[in-house]
Amino acid sequence: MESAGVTSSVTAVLLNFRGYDTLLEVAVLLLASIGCLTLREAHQSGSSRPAGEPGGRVLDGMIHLVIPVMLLVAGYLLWAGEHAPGGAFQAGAVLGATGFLLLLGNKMHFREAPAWLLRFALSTGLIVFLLVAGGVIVSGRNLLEYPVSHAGKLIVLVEAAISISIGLILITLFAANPPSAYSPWIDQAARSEAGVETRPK
Amino acid sequence: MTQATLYALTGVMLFVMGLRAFLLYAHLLRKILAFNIMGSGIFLLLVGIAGRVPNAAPDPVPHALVLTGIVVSVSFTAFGLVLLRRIYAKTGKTQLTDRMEHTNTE
Repeated sequence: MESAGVTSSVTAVLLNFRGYDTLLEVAVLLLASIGCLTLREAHQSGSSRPAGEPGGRVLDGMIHLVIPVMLLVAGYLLWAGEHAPGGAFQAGAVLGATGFLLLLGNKMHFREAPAWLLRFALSTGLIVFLLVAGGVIVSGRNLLEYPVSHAGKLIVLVEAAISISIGLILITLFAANPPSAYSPWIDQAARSEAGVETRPK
Repeated sequence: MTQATLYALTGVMLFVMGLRAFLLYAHLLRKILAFNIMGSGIFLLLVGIAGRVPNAAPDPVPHALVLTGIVVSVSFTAFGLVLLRRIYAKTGKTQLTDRMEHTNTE
C-alpha cells in the first residue's frame, strides 16, 4: 500500500495495482459510445429543437439551482478519491447526470459543437491514460508501473482526464437513446416515427 | 448466517432469476433487462465476497471489480438499446427471428 501513491485502497487497486483493468474499461466505454453515435447518425438526421427553447419552467429553475452544486460535487468526488471512497468513475457519473439535465432542459447542443472537439473530448481519458501508462516504459519500467515518488500525481492526472471522458461518454450514450418527447437529435417527422416505435405492439 | 453470506446468496438468487428470464423471453428489451439483473447479482456476490472476513477491512479488489463492472454494464445496456431500436426500425419486430423461418426464437 505504501507504494500506491494514494491512501484509498479502492483507488489504489483501480488505478495502480490493476490499472490495466481500468485502462481496458475506458476503451470499452469509448467503443460503446462510438457504436451508439455511429448507429444514431445512420438512421436519425434533421434538426433538433431550436437552440434556447426552454424545457419548462420547473426544469429550467432546477437546472439553474442544481448544476453548479453538481459540478462542485463532481470536483469533490474526484479529489476525495485519493484518500476516501470516490474517484474518477463517481465524478464522471455526476458529470454525466449534469449533462442529462442540460439535455432534458434543451440547453446542450452536441450538433453545434465541432466534431473534432467532441471526438477529442471523448477520447481524452484513454489518450492520457495510455500516455501515462506508456510513458513509464520510457523510464525503464513495466507498463503501468508508476514511479513511487510521482504515483500520486500521475493517478490524479489520469483520474481527472478519465472523469471528463466518462461524463461525456455517458452523455452521448444517453443522447443516442433519446426518449421520444425530449429527443435532442430527432426532427419532428422522425419524432412521430419514434412515437410509433415506443408504443407496445 | 453472516451478512456476507446473505449478500452472496441474494446475489446468486438474482443471477438465477436473471438467467431464467434471459433464456425464456424472446423480447429483446426483456433480455437486456434480464442481463442487467444477472449483472446486479454478480455485483452483489462480489460485494459479499469482499466482506468475507468479519471485523476486518473489506477486500478492495472485488470493490474495484464491481466499479469496473457497473460502468461496463451501463455501456452495454446503452449499446443494446440502440441496437434494439435499430432492429425495430428495420424489421418492425422486437425479437430476433430465424431468417430461414423454421423456428421462431419464441
